[in-house]
Amino acid sequence: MARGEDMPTDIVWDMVACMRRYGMRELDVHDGAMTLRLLLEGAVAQTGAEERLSGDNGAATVSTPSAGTVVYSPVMGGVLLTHPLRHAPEVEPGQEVAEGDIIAFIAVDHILQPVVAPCAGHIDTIEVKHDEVVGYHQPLMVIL
Amino acid sequence: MRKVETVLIANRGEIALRVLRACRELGLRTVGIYSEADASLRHLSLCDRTICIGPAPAAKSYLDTELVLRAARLTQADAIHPGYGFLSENPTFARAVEEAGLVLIGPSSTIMRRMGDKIEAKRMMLAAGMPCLPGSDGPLPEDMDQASALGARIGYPLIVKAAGGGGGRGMRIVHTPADLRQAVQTAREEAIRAFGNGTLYGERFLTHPRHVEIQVMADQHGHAVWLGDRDCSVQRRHQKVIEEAPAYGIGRDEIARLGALCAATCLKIGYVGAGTFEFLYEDGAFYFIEMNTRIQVEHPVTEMVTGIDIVREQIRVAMGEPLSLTQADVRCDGHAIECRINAENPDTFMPGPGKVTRWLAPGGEGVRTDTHLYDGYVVPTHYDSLVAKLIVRGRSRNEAISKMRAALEETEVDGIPTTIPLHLHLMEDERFRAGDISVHYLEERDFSRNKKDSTHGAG
Repeated sequence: MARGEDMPTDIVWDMVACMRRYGMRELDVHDGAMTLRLLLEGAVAQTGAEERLSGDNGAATVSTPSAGTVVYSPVMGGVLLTHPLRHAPEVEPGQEVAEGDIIAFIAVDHILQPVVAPCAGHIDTIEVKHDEVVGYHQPLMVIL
Repeated sequence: MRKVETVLIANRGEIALRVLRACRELGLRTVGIYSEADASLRHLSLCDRTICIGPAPAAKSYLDTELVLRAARLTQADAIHPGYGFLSENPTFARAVEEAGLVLIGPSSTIMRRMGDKIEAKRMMLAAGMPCLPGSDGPLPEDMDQASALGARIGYPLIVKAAGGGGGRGMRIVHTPADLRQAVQTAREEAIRAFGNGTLYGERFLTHPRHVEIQVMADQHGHAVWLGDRDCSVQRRHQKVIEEAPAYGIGRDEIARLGALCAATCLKIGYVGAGTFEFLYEDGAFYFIEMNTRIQVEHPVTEMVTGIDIVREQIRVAMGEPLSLTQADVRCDGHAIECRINAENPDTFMPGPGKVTRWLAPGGEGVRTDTHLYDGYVVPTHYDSLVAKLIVRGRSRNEAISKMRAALEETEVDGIPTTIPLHLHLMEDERFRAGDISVHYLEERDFSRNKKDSTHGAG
């Protein structure tokens, strides 16, 4: 691939973002003679495939538990575990959540972007503090 | 003057590490930003604070003004160092930084915008008495009869270039009047596609020029100095490959006159910060081509022969401090050469990203290595392939060449292809050793794959 033509890898990274958003650990894409397997860090390959998306450094640095679904920050901003107009946090460790429940917000300037549970389960750990500054795709919580 | 305590480094790779070193020496806090593909960049482990701003593609991370400014706000940075490439010469970014009340370590957005427009830049330089190539001195007329008349006045061969361009796109060399129409049409289409601006200008094309440039530094208190000259004639597709300081074989008096003119021009146009005036040099005459309003990749060769830390000085003047030196303090001692080591196949120049399984940098007296490489580092696919800069200083050019050859031989890198074999080859080349080179030198060699594409200028 020529320098500057990062289109194919762009697609891979978009796929990784989608996988994280929806709590997927493993993705197989078959297209004619081509097979692409994406395996997020922490996931265990079902078929013993060794390939993972670690060609770049970022995706592989976050240590995630092998069990549970990690919820990542969709954007860079400030984490709000409690909505500014409420007193109680959206979720607490141990709490049951349904897929699609709002579990936190990321403040980007004056706009709050909701973080939704990618799957049903209960909140295992909360990795960040209220008002903490988080980067793009930083782990926020783990759902078991 | 705004007090600066924290500098956000809006770049990656070796230059991010270079900027970090200068900040630490100045006692400034540092914020490192990175894309998702770059979490293991060397400088990040040395920063006071780091934050991932977006996914791997540069357009969604390093090139996104909003994300860089948001990172600055979230980390309470007061100043932004843009390095080179990415947003470093983007006047819209510079303006946004100013409007956010932050200090950009670089010139004002106004001057950046004027220098980015090559027609406007040339007009300002002509007004300042700078030698320029005969040219259209304004946009090339759309009307082909008028353009032909202008072509005849400029003389052939001439070159047609995009006013808002760079990097060789929107450029065509025209050898005869009959070729003008086709060349203008192609260049205009290319310019619209690449830069969204079809404005072209034309100027005389030199057949065997050298690329010679003057490093300047100006503060906010009406002081400007020039820090010496560089030769960057060894280029491939407008990308510099080897740089040297000083430009050998040119009279020191001539260079001193040009340098003084550059420093005076900074004061005249209100330039602040580090900058470079780039010239073509042919048959004893200099012709201004463009001014770079940022720190350049090749700044270390000037640092090696002058002993001046250009990045530190750049940050100081951005903070409103006066220059720490006068023109009389600037001396050129010896000769320095820089080889750009790219993660590329040395023959085909195809980028070769991957995991660096072994990295051992050369050392010794007069040897400097600016790199973000380390054992186990993975060179990502998304960005420029420059991974290291080897810089040496000797008492003479010959001594520097010998030292560079030894340093290249000493360097060990496994896991990725590099351009080290090409540099070793060049250090042995008779023409290079004799200094008998022009900007077309590398393209004229056997491994050149694109002789037709040769044009002026480099990034």
